[in-house]
Amino acid sequence: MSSVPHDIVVGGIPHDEHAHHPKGIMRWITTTNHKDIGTMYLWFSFTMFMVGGVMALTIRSELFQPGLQIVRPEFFNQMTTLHGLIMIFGALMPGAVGFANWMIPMQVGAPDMAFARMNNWSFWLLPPAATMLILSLFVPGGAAETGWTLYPPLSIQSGMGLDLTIFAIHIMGASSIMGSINIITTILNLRAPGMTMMKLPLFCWAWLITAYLLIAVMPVLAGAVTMLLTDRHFGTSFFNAAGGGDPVLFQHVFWFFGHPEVYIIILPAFGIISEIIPTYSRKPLFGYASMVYALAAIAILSFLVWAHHMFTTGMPTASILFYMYATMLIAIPTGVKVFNWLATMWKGAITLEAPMLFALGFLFLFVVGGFTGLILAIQPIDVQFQDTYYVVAHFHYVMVAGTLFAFFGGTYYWIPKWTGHMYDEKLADWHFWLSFIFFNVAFFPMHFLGLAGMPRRVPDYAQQFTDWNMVSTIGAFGFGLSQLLFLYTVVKCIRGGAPAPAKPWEGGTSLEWTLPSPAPYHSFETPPTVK
Amino acid sequence: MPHRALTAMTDDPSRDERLRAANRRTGLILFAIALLFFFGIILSRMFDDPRVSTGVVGGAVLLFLIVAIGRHLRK
Repeated sequence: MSSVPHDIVVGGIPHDEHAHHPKGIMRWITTTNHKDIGTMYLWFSFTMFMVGGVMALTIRSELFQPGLQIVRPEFFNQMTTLHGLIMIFGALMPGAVGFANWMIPMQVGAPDMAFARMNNWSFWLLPPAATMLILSLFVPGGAAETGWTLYPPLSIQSGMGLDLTIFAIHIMGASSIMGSINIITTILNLRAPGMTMMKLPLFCWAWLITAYLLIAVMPVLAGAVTMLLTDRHFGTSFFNAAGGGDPVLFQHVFWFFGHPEVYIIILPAFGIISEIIPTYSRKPLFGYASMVYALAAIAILSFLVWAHHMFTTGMPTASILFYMYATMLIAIPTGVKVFNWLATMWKGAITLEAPMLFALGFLFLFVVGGFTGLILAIQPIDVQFQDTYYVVAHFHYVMVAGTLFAFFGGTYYWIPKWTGHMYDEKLADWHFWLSFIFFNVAFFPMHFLGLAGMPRRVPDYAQQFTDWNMVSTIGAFGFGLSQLLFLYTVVKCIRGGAPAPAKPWEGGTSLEWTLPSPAPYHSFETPPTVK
Repeated sequence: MPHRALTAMTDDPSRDERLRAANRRTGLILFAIALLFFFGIILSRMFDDPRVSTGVVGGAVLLFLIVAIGRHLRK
């Protein structure tokens, strides 16, 4: 049972309306249907994942051996910047919105999203923004080379590529805010009769809280980059020390956005995992209410810890202690979630289909990433590790093994409902094991490199770091190539396969499993009743 | 062929209209909050001591979050 046990009276499942909408390319450009838009978000996210992945492989190729072999140092810096921005704003966030578009109306018993036209607009803002970001590589001076954090003074001095980056962030931010408004309104106003807040599936709860986080922090980021833009072109001195501005204040504002952003990316993944584990354990989720409270606590605490990213900029001891302890405090609600997932599995009738494999992989690797985060929260240690590969290892364990593994698991979990076909279990299992092994080959050695003092964001390094860098590069290529297997498995499932029943997983109990597979064009025209 | 943009949300047209009005209201409130934070963070830099004014905007963001999430936890 994916959230809480409740009885469902199925409402009017509508007739197939495929005859009522345009065909071909116009279907996708003009669509206001949540499933079409969800599909476009997911494909966009995968495309950006591939683009960002190629950039990552460029970085890893250069780092295979010491000495400069493949790219110029400036281009290397541009790759690290674009890789970060594309993966965060192009791959992970749109991927989560894709899942939200597909699943939230079906899980709350709504016919569609609350603002169907705005939904179309918020998706179609993304391709031009991503194009602008990628095209910044080709303008004079190349793309931004500041890292994804865009710190001044370098970002004030950079070339035209940084302006394109700022515009792209504005557009993607606007898209995120519109998406969040849509998600909040859909969950609050379009729930089926009888579905109280404490009967919402955990995925919807996770997204509701994420959407509030987005409404709170995206305008702050937009404000910060707007000020950066006016410093660059309109003579203001918000962050320009030469005019009396304070570059460190940019860091405060950026991380006031940037730390909650980490949770914006991971909370929807928590929601997906909270759906998968009970289904394949054939047990209700352990501690539903505490899971909701833990999500809320994580979201609120995420606003109180931003300065742990800035321990080395210098701050009073009292501030250091506050941010250190507040950061450690986040481990408590996160620990509650991990405990509840484990307790859900305890004595369950567990089967290991691909979604469950990815959920277990998520649990194992996310906890590793969480613990290294706890280590980095300790200021005296952070001073040693900051800007080393230890930090790179930490956040990739959270972002890739955390969010991306949850997305893979979620795709395999819901793809029978999306396509009407079962996926190839053997291929999906291979995809999991290759991803799991190569991910660890790529990123675990980075802990050793960081502990030994290898700095990040540099194209060259001292001889003694060579061996682990070679291992890491081999792992990165293996991980990248494994994702082609994911693409093949998904395409194969879309094109055909064993027909999926309405409820392919016997443990699934939320509303989407009451609909036929594939789900009809409009999910519920008459709302179902939840008792 | 005209594209059907909006589906009926309920089988009662008057309830449907009320629901759409409620959606618009919720959407506008959230949009206004986003605008407030955007301009708030820029304006906060223009005061003599931006640390204090930025703190006020940051506090407002945190308060919004606590109220917005907290009010649903009781239901």
